[in-house]
Amino acid sequence: MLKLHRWHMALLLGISLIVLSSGAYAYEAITGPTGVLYYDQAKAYQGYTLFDPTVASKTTYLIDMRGNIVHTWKSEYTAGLHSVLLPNGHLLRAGAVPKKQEVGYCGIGGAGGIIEEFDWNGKKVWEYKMFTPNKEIQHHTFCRMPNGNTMILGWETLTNDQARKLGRDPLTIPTKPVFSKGIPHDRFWVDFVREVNRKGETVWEWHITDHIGTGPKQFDINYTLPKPMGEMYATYDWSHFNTVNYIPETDTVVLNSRNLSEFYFINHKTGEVEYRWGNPSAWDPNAKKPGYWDDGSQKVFGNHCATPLKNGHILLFDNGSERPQDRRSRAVEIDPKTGDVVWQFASRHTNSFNSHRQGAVQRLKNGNTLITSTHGGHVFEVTPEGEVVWEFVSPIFAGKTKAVVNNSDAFPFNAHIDSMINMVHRAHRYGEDYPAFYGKTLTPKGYIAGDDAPRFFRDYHAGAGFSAPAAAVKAAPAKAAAPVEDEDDGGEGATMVGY
Amino acid sequence: MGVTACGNKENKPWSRQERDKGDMMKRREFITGAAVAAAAALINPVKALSFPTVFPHGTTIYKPEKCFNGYTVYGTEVESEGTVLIDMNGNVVRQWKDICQAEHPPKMLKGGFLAGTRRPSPDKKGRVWQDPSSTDLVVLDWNGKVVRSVPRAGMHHDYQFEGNPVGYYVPGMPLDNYQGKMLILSHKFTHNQFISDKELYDDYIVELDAQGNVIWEWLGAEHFDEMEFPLEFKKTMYKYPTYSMTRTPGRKGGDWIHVNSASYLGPNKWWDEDKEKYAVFNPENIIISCRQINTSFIIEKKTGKIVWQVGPEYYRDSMWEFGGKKYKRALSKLGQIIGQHHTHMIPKGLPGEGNIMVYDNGGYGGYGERNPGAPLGWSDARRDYSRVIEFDPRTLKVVWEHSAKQMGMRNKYQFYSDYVSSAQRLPNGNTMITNGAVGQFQEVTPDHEIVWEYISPYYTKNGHYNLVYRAMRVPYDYVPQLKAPKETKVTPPDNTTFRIKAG
Repeated sequence: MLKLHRWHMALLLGISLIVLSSGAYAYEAITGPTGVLYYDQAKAYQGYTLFDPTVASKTTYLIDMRGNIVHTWKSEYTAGLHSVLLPNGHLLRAGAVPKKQEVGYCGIGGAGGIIEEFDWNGKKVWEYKMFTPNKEIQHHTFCRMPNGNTMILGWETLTNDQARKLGRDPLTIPTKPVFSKGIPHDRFWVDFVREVNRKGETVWEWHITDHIGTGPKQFDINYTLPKPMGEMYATYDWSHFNTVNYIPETDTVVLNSRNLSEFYFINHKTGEVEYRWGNPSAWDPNAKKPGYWDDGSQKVFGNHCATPLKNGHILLFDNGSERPQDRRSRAVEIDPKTGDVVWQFASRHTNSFNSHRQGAVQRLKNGNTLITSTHGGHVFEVTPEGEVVWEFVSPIFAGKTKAVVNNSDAFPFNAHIDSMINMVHRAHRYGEDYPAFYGKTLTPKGYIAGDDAPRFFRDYHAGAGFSAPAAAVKAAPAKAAAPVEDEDDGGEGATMVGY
Repeated sequence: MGVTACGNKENKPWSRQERDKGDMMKRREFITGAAVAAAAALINPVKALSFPTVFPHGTTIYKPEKCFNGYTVYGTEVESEGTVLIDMNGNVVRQWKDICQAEHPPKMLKGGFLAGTRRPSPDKKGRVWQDPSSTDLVVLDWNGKVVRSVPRAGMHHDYQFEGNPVGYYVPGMPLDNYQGKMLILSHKFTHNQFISDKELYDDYIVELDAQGNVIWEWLGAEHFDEMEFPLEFKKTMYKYPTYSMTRTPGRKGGDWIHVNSASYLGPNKWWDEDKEKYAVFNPENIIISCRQINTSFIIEKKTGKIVWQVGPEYYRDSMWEFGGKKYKRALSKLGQIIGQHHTHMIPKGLPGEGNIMVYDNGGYGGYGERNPGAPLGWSDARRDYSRVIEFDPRTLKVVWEHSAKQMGMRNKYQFYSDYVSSAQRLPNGNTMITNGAVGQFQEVTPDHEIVWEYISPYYTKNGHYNLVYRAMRVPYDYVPQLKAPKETKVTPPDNTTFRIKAG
């Protein structure tokens, strides 16, 4: 029998590692680190990352690339569901107003109730409350327009009678209250958008109920997801939008529906649906519906955060939640002109990146994309080539800071599918040159995962004995080096001196 | 480099003046005065303010055989005087008192047509597109009849007519199609929170068809993302976006880039040579000069995108890239451009065609970190002399440069206009230069000989200045209604022996 020397074994191990690494990437562990896990300074878009822990936290964090907290804001409300940093340094944040567990309140995931604006120092300078039981509630998001107005996404009630009148199949209307988050629901909550000015006056509204019907410009009130997705999906949470954005150049409002798995361009002047993409089977009787094994004509599943880009494209978080073929999340860029997906990122293994619900995408100035995989509290930045250059797992678990995550941090199965309680709905990166930072001191005030927590990204790079990760040493795609013309520096420069 | 030693010497009252943002003209005047005074103090510290106060006006030098002889049209900037047309000897051959009363520039078209602004009523001198208080842009025939009008155009600094890219005399591209397409530089008020939290008095470029319909438009703030500025630059611009009173009653605005010329590239040899390699030099593309940011851009007509940017930094380590090639130190050899005017491509058919010509004022411009000469960081780049430069738009290699130095003068401020001004290439290779702040026009040969010089005698009543924005030479046949004038040479006296009689 052949005797195996140590170096033989090392060789074998090496070869097997190479073989394994060329296959699907699967990292599985119960215990894992939080904080900044990876940071490639040369390739990442330098700036500050803003995020709101979704669960039981009233704090908004601004962290630097190394995970140091540089600024925080505190609200009296938990997130409902995220905030943005305005160019003037103010924080615009959606908060979740506490709800009673009674009929008339809205217990659908994403329900918030108030938009608050804080100055840099945390003083509240503006608010708009959209929270009237039995009537309306802000949910998920909002959008500050260039003219200073704010567009707010809301749900408004639609009684069973009204729904029937609008054409809803009576057989699909529950006869008993449907519970979500402990709240009984006896009516529909359907989407609308309200634009308010600085004084809180309504200047524009759009209601999905004005656009019920069939065909490309209408919303089919009987389009529902099957009951196994959750009872509200098939009943009172019919449309479930989660995005409102505005394109000033074309005066277009961008909306996105999770349940219909589409994004929409709405004409701000007429309210008309001008474009829709994602799921033709939601409106076109001739489109192929997804089956048990194939996607049919449907392109994205349970999508979030339709984000207009400067080039006219739309960046989308495709959750893949109800996808028959391959249930996993992706970031996708769509060219609305052609309807083609022109760029996408998905990890090799769903363990690494998969958010069943929620999720966000942001295109950064250097062309990279910041992805928020909500259910894992996971925020990371990828290059156009799909290389991960910054990675972060939120260490804020229901208000508590934890340097490691483990099985006890997962939601009970039925509360949130495949989700941890360090959820982050949307994170945003703001470049160092963002006007909000002009004249501000951004001194690091401690590591986000706690000062005694290991700085995984730093130890990994600087620690002795660690070699660079595969991603970091992978050669940049060969580009022909631009020839440099370096002529003799003539005398012209000298004449500038002395005058 | 921007702030010279002499700039600091006499500037005690300056910081006080700096805070006075109310009246742009006042500050400009002051800065001119201060610079001249400081410069004078440097050479003759005993006699501060020794800049000549007595000197002749009109044509002061004229060598007919070396000139491209013709008429010169200019706006006097005196509200009651308007626009004048002079011959080489400085005789006024025509005056239009209600054209370009203090707006600019007027343009002489072939056939005796004159284009320029006209105020609908004396109080309406606004520069905002389609604003009720704005001026009209009109074309008059020789008899004064309006043959084209763009009401409330609010034109400021530049406009072009179809068939001639730059609006000055080019053989083979007559400036005569006043009925065709027009390009107009105007303003619009706008907001862009990434530029500043203050309202912007933004530059708006519009192209009209023959019927006056808008067929193309461009607003500076919409292309902020395509402009490349350093962080400190952006920070200062955010805070101080050149915010002051505009000519629109009651409205303040940030004149953040201050565009002062807009012209087509026009047919050019680069494009003829290789339409792919030199796609940025597509003849329909538009080149603009932005004085407040020391930068010139080429705008791609098709997309509105900025495809070529020179400025705002011209350091040794500023890298110039063109056509996939990098040019180390090309920008530093071009030299810091400050507050420039009239950036344009020399049209095909003129000597130097395809090169870019710029009147690099010096003076003050840019945004950046504060320093003693620019306590707010506003207009942090300063220089007390001007130069005209002609350079290759691909490599930025300087082909021709003209300033006091090339004329052999000891003091560089002897060729200096800290604002306004222009440079026109003439068919004989000469360059017609307007040193506008001092109302001085010079035609110079490629060897830097002044063959014609003229100083405007039109002074404002209260301001004591004879500013001219841009003077343009046209050949005699552009005005067929006039008989070609007599050309009499003018030889100046020897300054050192010339005396004014006492008594």
